This record gives sequence, structure tokens and C-alpha cells, in this order.
Amino acid sequence: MGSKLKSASRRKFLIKVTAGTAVVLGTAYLTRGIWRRAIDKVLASGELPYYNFDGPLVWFEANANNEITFYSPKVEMGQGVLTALAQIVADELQIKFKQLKVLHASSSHGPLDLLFTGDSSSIEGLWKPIRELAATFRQMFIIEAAKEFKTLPKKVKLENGVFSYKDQTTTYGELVKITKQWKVPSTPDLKNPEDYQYIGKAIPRLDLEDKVTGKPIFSIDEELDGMVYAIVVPCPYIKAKRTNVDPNSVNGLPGIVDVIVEEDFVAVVAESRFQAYNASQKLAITWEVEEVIQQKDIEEMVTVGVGKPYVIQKGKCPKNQFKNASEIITSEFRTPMGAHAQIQPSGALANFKDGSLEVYVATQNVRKTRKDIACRLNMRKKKVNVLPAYLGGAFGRALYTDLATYASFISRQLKRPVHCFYTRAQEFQADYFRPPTHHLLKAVMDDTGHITAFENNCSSGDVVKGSDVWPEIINDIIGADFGAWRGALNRYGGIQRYEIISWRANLPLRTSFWRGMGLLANIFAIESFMDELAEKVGIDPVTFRQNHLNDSETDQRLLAVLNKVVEQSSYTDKVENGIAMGLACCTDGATHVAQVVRLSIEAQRIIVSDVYCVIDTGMVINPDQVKAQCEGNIIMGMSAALYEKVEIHNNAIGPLIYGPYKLMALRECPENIEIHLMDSDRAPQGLGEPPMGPIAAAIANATYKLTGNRIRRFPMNPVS
Amino acid sequence: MKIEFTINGRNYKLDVNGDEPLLWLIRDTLKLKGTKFGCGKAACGACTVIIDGQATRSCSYAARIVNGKSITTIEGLENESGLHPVQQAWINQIVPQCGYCQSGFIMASVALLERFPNPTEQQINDSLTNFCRCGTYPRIRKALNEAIENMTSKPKSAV
Repeated sequence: MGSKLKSASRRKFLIKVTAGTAVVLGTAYLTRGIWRRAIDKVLASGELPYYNFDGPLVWFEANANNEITFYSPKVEMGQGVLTALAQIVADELQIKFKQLKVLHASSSHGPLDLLFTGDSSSIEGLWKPIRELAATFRQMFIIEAAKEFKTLPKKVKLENGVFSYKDQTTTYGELVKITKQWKVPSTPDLKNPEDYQYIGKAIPRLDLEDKVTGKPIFSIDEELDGMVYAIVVPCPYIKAKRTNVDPNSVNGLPGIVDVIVEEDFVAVVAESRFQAYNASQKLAITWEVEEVIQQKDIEEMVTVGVGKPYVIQKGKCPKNQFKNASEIITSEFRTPMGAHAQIQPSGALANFKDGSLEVYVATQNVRKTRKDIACRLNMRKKKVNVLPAYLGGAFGRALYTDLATYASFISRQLKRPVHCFYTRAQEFQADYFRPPTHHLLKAVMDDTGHITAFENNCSSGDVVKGSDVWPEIINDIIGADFGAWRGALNRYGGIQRYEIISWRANLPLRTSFWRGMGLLANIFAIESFMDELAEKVGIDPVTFRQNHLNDSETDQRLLAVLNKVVEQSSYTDKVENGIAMGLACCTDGATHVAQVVRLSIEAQRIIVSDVYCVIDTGMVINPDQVKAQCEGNIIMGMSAALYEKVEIHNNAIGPLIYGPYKLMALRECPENIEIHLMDSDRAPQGLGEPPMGPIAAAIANATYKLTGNRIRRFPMNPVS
Repeated sequence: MKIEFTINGRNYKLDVNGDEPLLWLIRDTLKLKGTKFGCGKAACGACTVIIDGQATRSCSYAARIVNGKSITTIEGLENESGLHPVQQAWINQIVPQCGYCQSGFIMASVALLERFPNPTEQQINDSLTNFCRCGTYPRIRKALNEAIENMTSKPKSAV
């Protein structure tokens, strides 16, 4: 039979029955000890922080109408997580798919995520606990059905939401009506994978119809009676402070409700969004630059050798090999700052009423949003209800919800609901950028073309450090910034002598989580370097990589995706008719990805026509949405590599609008993107970011074959 | 100033600031939230509506020039027989991820196909210049092709 719920004794189930109309189930515990063990494991293994421990709190609700609601602690930001979780839950509950409703949990009802939505951790982290909880919930009903049928629970059959024994049948809804006292079983069996009805199927996303008919599902769509609009004006410069605000400068403008001047923010409030915006443009604010900073200063700060080094991974010592080498091959790469540029700007609608707050907000981090608001307003957390909406893109940006805090503050002050969103320019100014990076790689090779010593130095602005996104406890434990070095580890088991060093750059601006964190930049550097080394010893890039993979399980899985993508793409090193192919691969966490691109160059611009992607992400919940995530990662990674950069000129951040900050458009999207998913019976692994890893290096490697010039920087295409 | 116009076949008379962008009239005054704010500078296309047959970025379209015009928003695409073929194709191809930009893409596509039922690749690329950060472009292309096929083959099968 399936796996047992081993840790039943640690669980505290909470069961509530509401007068014969509903029964709910949840758990409530997650000790600091569990956190610590999980994080220790992460650091010991050098693996990325993907958690498989039990938790967080999970809730189900069944009602007399035979509907079952699952309150998701994870938020839907496009990655299809609500649909995937619904598939897992519906399978374990053995119900009709349509019987299940999935809602975002608010902070006052349902589970509060102790982590956040991101880090490609939702399905991997919930895979075990959510099935165990659903199985427990199912078993509660089986026990009651057995009583009803006057038989033993194991004799009760359950199919498509109908419990049966001989000629008797009942449903979840019927059992809710008649049961007064529920029993919680300790060790329910999980469903056998061969019996899955929904897991592994390309079930259409639950939110499709809402999203093609324009339903008001985003936080910016929320409205409340008496609502006013606030525009918060962020500081347009780095290393600057506000020295003066003249509220009189907007006197007499139409619709003005108030000007709020606080230590941490300035806002104009008006009856309409247009009035608030106009007034914000006229509001006289003086900013004083404390120290002039230019782009070249930022680059100097982000340089290997500057700041604090941390050795993050070490194999056998490579020092002697480097010392005695006749030749050390070295290579350098840089990536610029990147913006999230999600299409819905950050913001929230806050309503303070009778001592309590309701906040409708685009957040990846309900727990932190609530904590930030409660701290800033000096309120008890219980009095702050955070209601996460569907996210209009996030990619890490919605881990920070400053405007939810400010809107809450203004709402309490004005005693009216406050709708507060950034303009596009402000969204760029107030972003928490993907940090700029610098990479210095060194290798020594022997006569057979094998790497005998390897060193990878990566310098980056902060991702995790200095951030309060992770639960406080993590700050006690981490050394180097594992967000910054994500992707920098040596994952070629055949390289035995190596040292990986992460340098922390101290920057005068905010950098943090951007989809994949350091993955895009670090794999760009490593996988470009692998092609350089291969060329140096005259071995083709595929064989060179194969030669550096060993017999370990993880290397063999990477080898399998590499071989598969070569076959799928008919990869060749030959350049024909101005068309070249490039290849790269990576292991991120326990997900393996290999990609091949086919491209040409026209008018000095790289034009990618085909992308082939093979991924081993463990068991697949929804193959269509796994492919969608691969497509999305490839396109976002290509966009960042080919077009995007944020720079500092005279302390001002720029550009501040799409166009100058160029995103890939339809016309530049490769005609052909083919995704192949490897069969696997491993537990599901991270997916929302790993496919971003290889794309930039694959493009750089193909381009080199056409031009003979090694690309060492983003953006790869000229900025027009 | 007073303006009069129709949205989704319904007539409106409003007293407005002539400089106010149409987007905010649609969203905040008329409470049609399907049209999205993305950039306010006509750069991203999230706010695309159809004005007298023309795909238009409503964030940069002043209320004063709306007078006398006929506007269609995403809410006006469905009729008695159900979703618009473009919307249906978007569902069949499972296009949306976060979905925020999709109203704009759908409106731009509907306007394109009304003008050119069989658009060239160039016409598609020139018309669908909206941005999608999730990277749904490959599926947008597939859905658009499906919509083209369905919309152009239907009259034939009726004959």
C-alpha cells in the first residue's frame, strides 16, 4: 500500500463542525526545531533551500451541498499552483474534480504559509503534507460512512466522491449533515500512484475563464464604498533622503483629500486616481543626494575581490594544481541589474474599520505582509486580515508589500478605504532589483581534456541577506547569501578539485529576489565557461560535458537530459547558412534542465528561432502547466539576457518605462519552443525557476560559433 | 465637460475632466475592471480596448476625444451564443498564466481579425505589440491561429 503517515503523533488536528453544514480540518504546528533541521540540511548538502518537512497549516472544508473547499496557503501568480494543488487534493479525496473549490487562504481564515509562495517550493514542499492531510480528511469520512453502512471502514469503497458498501451509498455532503462527532484516524494510507485520476493529467487551469473574460480577480480591481486613491511618491534617487515636503503645493487642486507626510513615506490622497496622480506630479518634494553614485561605481562595488568572500562549496583542494599549472584558463562575465517589470504594479486596497484592518493585496508572502502592517501600525496581528488576490505577475517582487503598509496607515488616519498602487515609473524606482553580478572562473586541464582544478568566484548584490522575507530564524543560520550563489555550485561530479566562492557586494540600493535568484547569471557564467574550455582542448561541447559527469544518481539524471536534448534538437556544432546551435545545462536543487537554441544574427541582433528544452523535475502533476512554466522561464530568461538592464546615472534609476526597459515582445519570441518532460517517479521537484538556468549560456554559446566573439555581458543585443 | 459615448452597446452621458484617461473612466467610473492598468504611457497594451474598430490603448486616450465614440471592452465580447471565438481559442490553448495582460492581448487580437481575417505574420507582429511578462507568446500565437481558422471556416461550412 501507499506510504504511511509516520508522524501522526506530532500532529494536532483541528476539527470544527458548524451546525451540520460544514466540517473543517486543519493542522497547527511548526516548531523552530523543524526549521532549524531543514535549514541545517540545506547548508550541509549545499542544496538549495527546498523544504520537504511537514507543514504549513492546511485546511479543508466540506459542506452539506457536497462541495469541498481547499484553502490554499500558496498564491496563484500564473504558475498554476492552485490547479496543481487541486489535482493532488482531488486525487487523495477521491472526488470529482468539479466538486473541489480552491480559494486563497486569508490570514484570518485557513492556513498561514510559514514560508512564502516562491523559490519553486510550493509543490515540492506541499507534496507530502497535503496528501497526508487530504487522506486524513478522506479517512474521517470513510469512518463515518462505515458507521452508516454498519460495516468496517476498510470495506467502504470510495469513487468519484461516492462512498459505497454493497447497495448502500453516501456522499461527503450527506455525511456532513449527519455526523456530530468526528474521529481523526492516525495513519491513513495514501493513494497508490497507479490509481491517480488527476495527477499527471493536463487538466485545464481553474482560472482560465476568469482570465479571458476580464473578471475582477486582481487586487487592483478591488473596490469598497467611500474608497479614496493614494499615490505614494518613492524616492527617485539612490543614496538620497527627503529634506522637505510642501503640502501647500497641491492646495486647491481638484479632489484633494489629504497629503500624508511620514518619516517613511509621502502620499497624496484624492477622490480619483487621476486627481491623486496629477497632485503627486505637482507636490513639491526636495530630495538631497548624499553621495553621487554612477553606474561605474556600482560595477566597481560588484567585483570579485571586493567585499566579503564566503567559500560556499569545496571539493578536494585545487590549490596545488593551480600553483603547478602550465596554464590557468580564466574567464570573466557580468550581468546588470534587472527589474521585475511584472505588468500589474504593486499595491493594495486597505480598509481600517472598528479597530481592524482588511487588506486586499498582491502578495507572495501573507505572513510578512501582515507582520509588516501590524508592526508599522502598532496593531495586533490578529486585527489585520490580509486577503491575497490573484497576482498580476510577481517573479519575486510581491514578496515585498510596502504599499499595503502605507495604504493601511492612510486608511486608519482618514477612516476611509484606501486604494494605493504605483505608477509604472514609481514601480521601477521602488523595485527590489535582480542584483548585478560579476563572475571570475578559473580552470586547469590535463592532457586528456579533463578539468583537474576549478574555481568559481561570483560577486553579487544581496538576494536573501538584508531581507526579512524569510522567517527570522534563517538569519541566525545562513552564512553566504544562498540566493546570490544559487546556480554557482559545481554540479559536475567529474570535477573533483574545486572551490566555489561567493563575494558579498555592499550596494547602495535594494536588490533581492528575482525569479531564479542567482540562477540565470551563475549558469550563464559556468556554462559559457564550459564551452570555452571544451574549445580549448578541442573536444565538442556535448562530449566535454559528458566527460565531467560521474556515476552518481544526480549526474546520471543530468546526463540523461543532456543526451535527450541533443537527440531532440539534432544538435550540431556545424554552422550552416548563418545558423548556429548552442547548448547548456544545469542542475538546480534536484531539477535537471538542458537546452539547445538555434539562432542567426541579423543587423547585429541575435534572432533565436528554436529552443529545445528537456527537463527532469520529478513526478509531473500537470504536464501542460509544466510546459507552460518552461516556456515562461525561457522567454523571461531570454528577455533578460538579450534586452534588459537597469542602470544608475547621477543617482537616478533608469529606465522608468517599458520600451527603453525593453521586454521581449511577440515578434521576437522564437517560432518554435519544444519542451520534453522526462518520466520520473521521484517526488515532484522545483519547477518555477530551474528552466531559466541554461538559456542565456545556450544563446551565448551559439552566438560564439557565428561571430567568434564570446559574449560576456547582458544585454546581448544592442539597446536601441 | 460633458461627453456621450457607448461602451459595449450601452450609452453613457458623463461629466468628466476632459484630460482624464479613458482607462480610469472605464475602470473606476463605470466599474468595468477587465481593462487593466500596466504603464499609463501606451507602452504595454494591458489597457487595450476597441474604439470604432481600432485597437486603442485607453491609458493614453483622453476623455474629451471619447465623445461620440463606440467602445468595446473585454466585457463586451461575449454574446448570447457564448464567448468570442478569440476568447474560446485562448481557453482551448490554455494561454493565460497570471492573466493580467490577457484582456489587452485578446482585444488587440479581436481588432486585428476584424480588420484582417487572415493576417500576415507581419500584421500579427505589428498589431500584437503588447507585453506579457509570464511569456505566453507561443500560446498566444497558437490561439490566434486557432481563432483565425475557426472564424474564417465557419461561414464556409454554413454554405
